[in-house]
Amino acid sequence: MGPEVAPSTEPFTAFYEREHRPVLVLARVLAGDAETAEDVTHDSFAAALVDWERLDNPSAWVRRVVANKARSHWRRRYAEHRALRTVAASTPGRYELPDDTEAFWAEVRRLPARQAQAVTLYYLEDLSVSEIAAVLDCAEATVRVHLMRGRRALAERLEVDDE
Amino acid sequence: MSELDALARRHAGVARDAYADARPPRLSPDPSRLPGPRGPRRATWIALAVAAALLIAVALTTLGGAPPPLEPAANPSLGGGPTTSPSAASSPGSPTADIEQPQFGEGWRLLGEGRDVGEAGRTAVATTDDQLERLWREAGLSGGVPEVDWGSEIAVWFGAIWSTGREIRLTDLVVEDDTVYPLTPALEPDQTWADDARPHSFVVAVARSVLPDQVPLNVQLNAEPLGYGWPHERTVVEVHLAVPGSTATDEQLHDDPGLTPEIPTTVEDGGSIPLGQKVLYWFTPGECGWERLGTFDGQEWRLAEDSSPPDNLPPVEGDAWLTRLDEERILYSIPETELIYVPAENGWTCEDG
Repeated sequence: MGPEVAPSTEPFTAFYEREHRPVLVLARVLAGDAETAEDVTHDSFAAALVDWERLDNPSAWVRRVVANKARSHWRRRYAEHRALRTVAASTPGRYELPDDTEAFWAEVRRLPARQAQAVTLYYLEDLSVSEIAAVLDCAEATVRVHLMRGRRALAERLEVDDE
Repeated sequence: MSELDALARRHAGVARDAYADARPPRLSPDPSRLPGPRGPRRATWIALAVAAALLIAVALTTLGGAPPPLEPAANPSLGGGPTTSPSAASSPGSPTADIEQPQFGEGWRLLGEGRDVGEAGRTAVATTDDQLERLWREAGLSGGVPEVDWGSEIAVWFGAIWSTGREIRLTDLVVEDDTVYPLTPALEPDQTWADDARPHSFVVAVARSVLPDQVPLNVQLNAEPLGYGWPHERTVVEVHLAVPGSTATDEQLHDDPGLTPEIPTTVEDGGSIPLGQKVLYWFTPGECGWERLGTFDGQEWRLAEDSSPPDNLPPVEGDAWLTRLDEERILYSIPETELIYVPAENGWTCEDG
């Protein structure tokens, strides 16, 4: 995750240029498809722009918004957009992931939402427990519990060792 | 490093690499594009219900709640072909004019459609020529009644609801357990729409081969009933229509009396919520965010200490259900979120929360 930068010292455009790609990848594995990821990412950065002057930690904030938007409640809105998009025109698939990678992240998404978010931030973004806590806006102890349970469940489902 | 760690980091690397050439697109920071209700207060209970039902319908399909898509109809051009009333066309220059109504999908074909004809919030089923004639007339469609191959198809009228600024298209049918319903997403879901609820008739032929093997069969307007009434949003079919050529008498095709109308009571800041009553409230978070609900029955209500806002997202302005559970508690409900509010102490400010 990018450094915590006070919004007054960094223009939004620089933040956007720097953070767009990692946030897009985060959205991709949490949402499960490229189009939703693009929509979620777009709307999250657009929301950040609107609130830019009030964000203390925009890197964490935009990831939190993405993590939440990628959940089912929000995916419905994006699914509605997509239903129309398929009517308007079919778009060729972009950013396809290999099947085994897709399957791995699908297993992550099957975890309870908070566990899935914590595990994704931990592995995909290499965030520390304290950084994950900042993103999810919860205590570090809570993150540790989510990570422990999430990893344990994931290891069981994938039938791999987690020792 | 454990086996899981190695596996996870490998797939993380693959995902990152897949996006190696991703470049940030130009943002459209138009607030009207942002999710959540913004702009002027706009929701009548009808518009809200339509929006909620659309979201539920699409979600059920997208999130695996629905079975696989229907099989293609044997012959999409069977019968007289789709007919469209003049009112169905999008107006020239409309931003949505280029999104055409699909003429057929998997297991269904469009017999006709028309905006501002028929009746909003309505369904009907036909299994004979006479029933189709009546259905076609009630749907308000012009032109001759199309042919339906009753051996392999039935006909259904969906009296959908659209609102000025929020056009809809019928994009698919979903069969889920004992229920059939259409997906009718709005073209611009985030667009501010008017308070009107206008009919948009869609009449489709549905392949019997995709109908569920259950009796009764529910043919309804949305994944979930709109919840505000109209028993005729759902047609209950008391015959096994998956059987080729089977017909239903008028008595075997009826509305669902279980869909009892419920007209919500609304409340505004400063108003009163009687004990046990559920009312609709336009929540404006203001500077206090989730912390302050409003003033009801002469006292200010704040978020209970043990009640957590959803996912730490900022609240958005919009309609919410409030239920006065007892003297000391108000339940705030929006989809997937419930919060408890309690009376604020004298001198309380939201910074205290």
